[in-house]
Amino acid sequence: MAALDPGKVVAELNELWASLEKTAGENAHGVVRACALTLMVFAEESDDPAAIGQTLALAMREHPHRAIVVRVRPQDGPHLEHRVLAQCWKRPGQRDQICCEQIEITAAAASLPDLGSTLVAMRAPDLPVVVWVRSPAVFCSQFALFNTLDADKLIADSDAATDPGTVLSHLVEIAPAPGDLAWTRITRWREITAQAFEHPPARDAASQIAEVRVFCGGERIPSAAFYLGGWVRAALDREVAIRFERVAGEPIEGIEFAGAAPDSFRLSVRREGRDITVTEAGGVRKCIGCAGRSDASLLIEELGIPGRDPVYDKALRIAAQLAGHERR
Amino acid sequence: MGLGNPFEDPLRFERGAPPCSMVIFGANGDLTRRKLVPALYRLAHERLLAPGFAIIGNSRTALSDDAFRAKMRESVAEFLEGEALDEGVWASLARSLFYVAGDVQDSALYARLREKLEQIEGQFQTGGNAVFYLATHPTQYAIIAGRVGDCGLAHGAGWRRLVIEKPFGRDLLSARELNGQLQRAFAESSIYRIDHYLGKETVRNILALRFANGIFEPLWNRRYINHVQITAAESIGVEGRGAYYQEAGALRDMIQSHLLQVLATICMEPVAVWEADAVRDERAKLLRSIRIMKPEDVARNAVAGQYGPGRIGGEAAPGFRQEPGAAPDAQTDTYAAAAFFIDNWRWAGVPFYLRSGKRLPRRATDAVVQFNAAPHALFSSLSGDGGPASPNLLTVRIQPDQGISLRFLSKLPGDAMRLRPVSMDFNYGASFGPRQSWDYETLLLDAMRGDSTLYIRQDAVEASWAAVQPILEVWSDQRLDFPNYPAGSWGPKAADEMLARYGHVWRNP
Repeated sequence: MAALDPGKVVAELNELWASLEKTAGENAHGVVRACALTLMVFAEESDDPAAIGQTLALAMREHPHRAIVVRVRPQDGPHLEHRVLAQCWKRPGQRDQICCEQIEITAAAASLPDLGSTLVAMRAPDLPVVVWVRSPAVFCSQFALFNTLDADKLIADSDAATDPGTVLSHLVEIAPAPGDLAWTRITRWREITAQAFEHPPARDAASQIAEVRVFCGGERIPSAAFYLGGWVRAALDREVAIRFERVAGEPIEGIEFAGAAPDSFRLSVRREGRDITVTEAGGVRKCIGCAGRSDASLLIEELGIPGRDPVYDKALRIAAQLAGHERR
Repeated sequence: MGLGNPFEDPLRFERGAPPCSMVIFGANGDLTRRKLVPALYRLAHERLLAPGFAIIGNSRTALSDDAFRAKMRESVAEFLEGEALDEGVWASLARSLFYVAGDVQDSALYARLREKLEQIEGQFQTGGNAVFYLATHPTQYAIIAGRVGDCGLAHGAGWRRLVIEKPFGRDLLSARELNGQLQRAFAESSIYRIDHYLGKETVRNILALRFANGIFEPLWNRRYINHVQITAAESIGVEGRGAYYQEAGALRDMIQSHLLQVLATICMEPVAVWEADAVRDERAKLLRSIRIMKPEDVARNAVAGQYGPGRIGGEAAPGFRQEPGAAPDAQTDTYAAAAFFIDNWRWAGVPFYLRSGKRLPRRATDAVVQFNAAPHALFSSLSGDGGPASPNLLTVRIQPDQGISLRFLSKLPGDAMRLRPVSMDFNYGASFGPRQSWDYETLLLDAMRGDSTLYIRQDAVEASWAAVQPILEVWSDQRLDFPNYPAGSWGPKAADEMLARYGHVWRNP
């Protein structure tokens, strides 16, 4: 394996900036080197590089960062390859360009355990470090590496995992603050549910909730469903029954709350096409804007919370337990 | 989310508004078209409005609901500042727009509003919550508040709030009178007085800068701060508002309200808890600590100006007296500058220079904190530059390019110990992306949520009027020698002389 010298990479970044500034000077505008954190991204080599680039370009606008993208090659390769580049954009009405730097590394899976200290040496000093592992397979196979990166937060994506329970239990154990895009994808569901409980009769009846049914699509119960169930139980802070019901459709199709007695409280939040509908005691209220979200939008939300998220932490622990029960 | 909702997630869920109706008086006016409805659209776009939200517009012009919707759609599309209108979001918001025509002096209007509010309460499940937003001429505030109260609309099944825009009176006496009239209909806790400067990100960030960082607050006092300058400069003139502006002037329009609120934010004591009343208590306490000038001190500490004809960007610009609606002998201050002192332990002896003017060379609002020079000028004999003329400055840029800069001296590369001032810059757009909340978005949302932190309480309004009252009285008693600065310049010479008397110079943005 060819050695990757962090000093050389940083020198290449400096050359890149000098050349950007020269070009900008020739075109009579300025360049702002923006960086508020380091984002290390781990993806499989087969992962679409254009999609990753697009996601990072969008995320940089709200959370300017030094991106270190590690593309993991399944088989042993002769070299550890790298390149540096900049992503730039202009704000409307402004002449100056805002640019963020990106380091791309291609490495064989077998070499990853040795890469930790090199990656740490390439981070932007004194700024938060967030690790985003796009591939559940890489997350599970290289789990030990992620604890060595001095990261403040680690974001996985358990949605694509063949066994979400394993990802969730690793997330419970990991040293940095955990995050999961599968959790971020249900923010809208949670928000609408919370809004439904803003309505005074529903809020008053929350203490009567005895059973929660989560309706989920797909071949297996998705991690999003475990999260939704975990969140509800954590929020209510008691052992309400959580049942997962398989239906056709998206990973989450709805959630229903019911009291113990047949005629007691009932509130339903269900998907209807692009809308989510809240039904409570016969009254129907429709909510809009529930279309799927891009990875960039999910990542932006997660980067907005650089430390621990107490609501997620509680939900994660219960979700991991629920996933464990289902597996048994 | 309100208290007691177990499903709250304050880190993730943006502060959404509870269900409510918003009655906008003056719905045909500029403020509604340019600011309010576009801000409400943006809140809808960010999904921060509750499903049970409705707007009832009122003005004298007869309009159907559909015509009102069409008019508002045009305004939103025009004033989105480069963003594209999302037709889906607009269609959903438009369904919540209603219109009731009528004269605000006519009691029958309020009966029709009551009927509409009741209908909406059932249809949208607003819980009877309502905001009455007075986007009208200030002379109508007391009339509308009084009628709303008389017709029993100030109380209902849910909460009822009144929102008004500055000016809150023309002087201390009229401000007190207005407060009394408003409070006859609404409790002080239900009156939300908007100063949109307090909703600006950078102004709010002053509190974060001071109280969330350990390095600034220890220096934030008379021992380390030499003086503070707050500037609100506009390059435009009165833009057809000559008649209105003639009655207001820069001291009333900007210094009494916006700039004193910025001053209070810079100078207030830390709060123990981040709660509306705690913040407002400190802000009001600070404003009450401003030394009230004696009439004989006004000439030394305040300067009035009015622009005459000049040139801006190579083009001829008319003087104020040549503006449409302005009288040929108008005594209006289109420029005002004042030196204030705060009589408390932290700030005793530190001058605070506030200025605002129209037809200045560029549009810029900032607050500059100048620190004392190093006690011993070690490098001055070696350097030749970068001495006392380059003090450390902390600049808070409020508009147009929001950010914070810290200027300090640095050694030029090379053998010689030569110094040059350099700047560390924080720019909102570069660090947080192009999407920032507008001040009106923040403030409207806060009013619906019942968070009055960024709204001005009666005692703060009266304290800020008290601070400028002697200046108003002295200026009104004399014939000012206007015009005294050409359009396109940085104001009258007397303003430079005022600072020179204290050994300071204006730092132009």
